[in-house]
Amino acid sequence: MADKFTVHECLNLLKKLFEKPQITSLTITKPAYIKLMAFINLIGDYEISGFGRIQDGKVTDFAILEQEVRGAYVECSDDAVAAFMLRIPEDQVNEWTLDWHSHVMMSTSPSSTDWNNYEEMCSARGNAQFPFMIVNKKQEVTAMQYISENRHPAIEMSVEATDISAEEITEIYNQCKEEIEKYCTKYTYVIKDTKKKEETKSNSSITYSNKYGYSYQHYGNRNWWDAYDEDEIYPSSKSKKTSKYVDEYEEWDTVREKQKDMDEDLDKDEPIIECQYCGVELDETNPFEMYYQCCEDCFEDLVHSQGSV
Amino acid sequence: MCDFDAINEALNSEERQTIDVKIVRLGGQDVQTIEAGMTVADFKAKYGLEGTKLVSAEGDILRNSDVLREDMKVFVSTPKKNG
Repeated sequence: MADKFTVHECLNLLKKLFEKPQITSLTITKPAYIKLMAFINLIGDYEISGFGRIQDGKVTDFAILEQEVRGAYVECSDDAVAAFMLRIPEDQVNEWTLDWHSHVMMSTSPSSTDWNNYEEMCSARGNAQFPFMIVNKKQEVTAMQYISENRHPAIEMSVEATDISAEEITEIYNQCKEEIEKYCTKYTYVIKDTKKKEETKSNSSITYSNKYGYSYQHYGNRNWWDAYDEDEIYPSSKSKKTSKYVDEYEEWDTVREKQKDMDEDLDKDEPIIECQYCGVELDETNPFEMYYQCCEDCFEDLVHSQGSV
Repeated sequence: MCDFDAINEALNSEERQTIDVKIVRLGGQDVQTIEAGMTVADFKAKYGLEGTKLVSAEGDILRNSDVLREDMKVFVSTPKKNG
């Protein structure tokens, strides 16, 4: 059965079919690119999201807004987006059009979550087309001009070849660090390992959970930029539990119960547990691997192939 | 015989029935002429903004029952979710 559209909606759909992309190529200024890389590397193994300022075909600045960051998901509330719009000078509102976010070390292809949000963003922008960009720590970039659900031509991206001093880079780095402290909340669980009877610490065993119903550890890889002290930016007090996340905590409780049961079984005869996909021996202290009977590498491959992240 | 006074009065009263509201969106802003007394809910329905939140220039969230006022500046916001 055909969808029912009002005349206004029909005209909008028709307009979208004829609309030409307003942007086909973009150049990022070097300071802006350094800022973008600083954001995505300083945040560590988490995604980060924001907007970019476009002036005369050049991306001249990147900014972040209040957000909750996770390993495979990042969310800015409508209040945060409104606060961002109120924060920028009024004469710049039409310049902060670029929608960007990072995918840590994963592919920069848009996920289903991204596509859904681009459609919502397009409506909120009065059905106006807009550019979006997804980047990762490997400096891979996917940029497209979102016109409609079925039309999103690629944008050719380049970085301006200009000189930049070490002082400028340090200044950008410090600014990004401050902004991340101010606007980003890390969504973390500090869990107790039932086997070792000792509390696990952040870098080695933070367990991230997301809305898709699975939890995992050590997502992404560390790289040269991760030398900063994570605790300096994110004191442990940032971990939070609000009513919004009760379901996920309950879900985690279930995971922990299962883990506890597995630990008890292991204590009995201590069999070697192998990944059901590649056969590699699993880390029995890793609740994620124990729960899914699957190593993290295979899990990432599965997520890639299913496109659910 | 045409009653010009009545027509003028009607036109004037019609003018008074519309107000201008400034709509600020990411990527642009425009002035929208709407019916006086239009509520936020009606405005959202008319302009396809059901999934959005409207915020005043003072940063206050506009409720569906709020009435839009002349020369009001309204920010259209929606959550930004990426994965």
